[in-house]
Amino acid sequence: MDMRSIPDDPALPALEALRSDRFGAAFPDLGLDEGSFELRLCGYTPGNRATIEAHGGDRHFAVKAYAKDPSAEALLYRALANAGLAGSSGVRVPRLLGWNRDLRLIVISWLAGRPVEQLIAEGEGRRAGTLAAAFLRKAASLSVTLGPRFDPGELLFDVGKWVGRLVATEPILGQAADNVVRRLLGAQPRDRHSRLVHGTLYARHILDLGDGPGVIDWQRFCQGPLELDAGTFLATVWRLGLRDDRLTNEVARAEEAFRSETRTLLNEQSLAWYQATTLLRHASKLFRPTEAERLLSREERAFALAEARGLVEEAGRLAGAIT
Amino acid sequence: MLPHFELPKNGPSPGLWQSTAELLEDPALPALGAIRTRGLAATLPELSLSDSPVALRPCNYVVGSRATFEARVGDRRFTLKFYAEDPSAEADLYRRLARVGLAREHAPRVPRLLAWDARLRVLVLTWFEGPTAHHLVKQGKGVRAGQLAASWLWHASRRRWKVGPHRGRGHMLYQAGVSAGALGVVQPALGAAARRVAKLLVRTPHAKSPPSLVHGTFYPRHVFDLGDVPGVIDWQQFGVGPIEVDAGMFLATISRLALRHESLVDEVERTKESFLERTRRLVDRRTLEWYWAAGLMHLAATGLKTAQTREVPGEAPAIIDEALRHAQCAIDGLPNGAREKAARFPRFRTAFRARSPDSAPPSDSPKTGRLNPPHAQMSDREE
Repeated sequence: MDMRSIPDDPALPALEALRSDRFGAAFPDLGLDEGSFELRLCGYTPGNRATIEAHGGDRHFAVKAYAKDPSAEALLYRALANAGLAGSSGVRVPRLLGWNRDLRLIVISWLAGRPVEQLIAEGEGRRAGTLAAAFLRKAASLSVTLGPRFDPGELLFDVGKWVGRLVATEPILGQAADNVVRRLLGAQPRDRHSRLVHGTLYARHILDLGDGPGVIDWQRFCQGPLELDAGTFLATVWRLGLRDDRLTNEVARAEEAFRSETRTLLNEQSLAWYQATTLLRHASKLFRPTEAERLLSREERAFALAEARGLVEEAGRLAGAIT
Repeated sequence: MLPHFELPKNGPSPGLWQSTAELLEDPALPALGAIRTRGLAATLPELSLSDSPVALRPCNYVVGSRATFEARVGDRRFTLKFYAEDPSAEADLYRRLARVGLAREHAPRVPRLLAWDARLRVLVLTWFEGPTAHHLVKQGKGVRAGQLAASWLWHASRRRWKVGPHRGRGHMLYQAGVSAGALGVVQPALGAAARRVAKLLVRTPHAKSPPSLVHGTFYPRHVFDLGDVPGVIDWQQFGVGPIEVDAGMFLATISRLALRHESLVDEVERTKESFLERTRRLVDRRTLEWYWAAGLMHLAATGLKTAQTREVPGEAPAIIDEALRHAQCAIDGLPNGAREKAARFPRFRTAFRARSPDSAPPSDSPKTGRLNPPHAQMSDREE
């Protein structure tokens, strides 16, 4: 195994285990001792989590390393498998292959497919919307009750953090975002039904598996309104069009397909409310105070600012439509 | 819109009387232009003004958002409030409050609505004369300040109220989030401390209180001593929610006064005791502790969260410590009196250490350049 791509992060004990014999010993069924494996770092948030793709022979899986105990996520994958979502066709999620609480890691099967954002980029917007809608319809039919109850107050605290970050970095934009939230505060949805929701249903978390969608990265799952997932999805898809105006038509097709196939499931006002909050999240993300962002060139910063403005304006339009 | 608590260089000097022709220019506040060109009497004929000259004094101005002026015409005196956004809801509130007896002379009251124009986005209200609770504390009359604030809450709680947006947990958590986000940009460690307190608040359920009329920014500077009763101004953030929202915000603002001014520590304690004693049977104490903590979180990034400054307020670390203590009380219940007293003074010392040695002595507006003439009605939304 090539370990050069694996970061050294003491908060993620699984990474150190990957370098030693401890990982193979903890998961003998994975056959890490047999033949060579390629490892690829897919995602990494320092001090928080990392996702590593492992590929060797006919074995292909993901190792997810966390700073906190991922038992809840592991149990969810098991529950979703019991609900029929870890088969070889239709709507599905990764299968749980292993889990170690001490190492704070889970091992899940690898779902290979094009993410929805790639579908849109390749002119298949309608299919992108259809896949996301298929997942949402399936989610609406599940009776998995695991996970914390969604707390609108917690979301509003997060929205506040995003707006506060904008105010402190781009004051005029921050004030515009604050005005949007003041409208949203007066129109908070009264969601009646709680179901299993993904929590971060970004376009990149939905894969085209050929005969259905695969949905990955469930670490923020909870029991909440379906509109939370739907609004998150629509916001990330809308951002694709904002970033590249050649995609505007495909984005519109994706949205149209998604809306027409979920119409009976969703409350329009609630959907707009969650969509607006996700847009504000994306606007704020562009100004995270990390070293990387501080190193942005003037042009890159101007580009980020223009994108953030577009996101806040769209959030304002949605908030205006609700109120 | 960029908040700005100082008047622009081309505008009037703070607090100076001026004629209508000298009114500042701000295209976002359309009534300013109308009054400047046509005069006050022609712009708002329902005031039935005489030909006497109009004198205006700016009390507060936030660029592109709102402005408040005191107006004097002959022996008449009133408040002009200019807005960028439609103030119809606020105008409607003043009318409703008058209908339920909360604008009567010699009773706890709000200003009466004298005139308004939705198109020009302007309100005209009666003027209140008297010291604010903020001034009373500074004058060594904290007990009176606490009495007045408590008295208002008792009166407000007696009315069944259903009009206005919900003001409660979600709203306060949003405000706490804005503080945490803004602090995190400027001082990451302080932002992390704020997030820890906010997470405690998120995890803490509190009792359901009956919905009441909520002011939304029940700061001591918005509570007037009108002789025998309280008067409460600046209702643009009103709504419906638990009475503890206003009680917690009053206590948070009072607490901050002590963290800013060492000389006021004892008076602030007297104010708090007076207020708590008089509201003991009105509020749920744990819920109050929750809103007290949330109010402090809201205040921790004053100035920073409204982009008035890019510096963290000197007292912010002490405010967050204080918020943590109240959040823990909301979870665990109140500590006994001895623990309460022992914890108090080190906290204040921390606050003063955090301030720069050349900090200004207590004054009405030492940090922000706000217009704050003594005993005058003023508006300060961004506190």
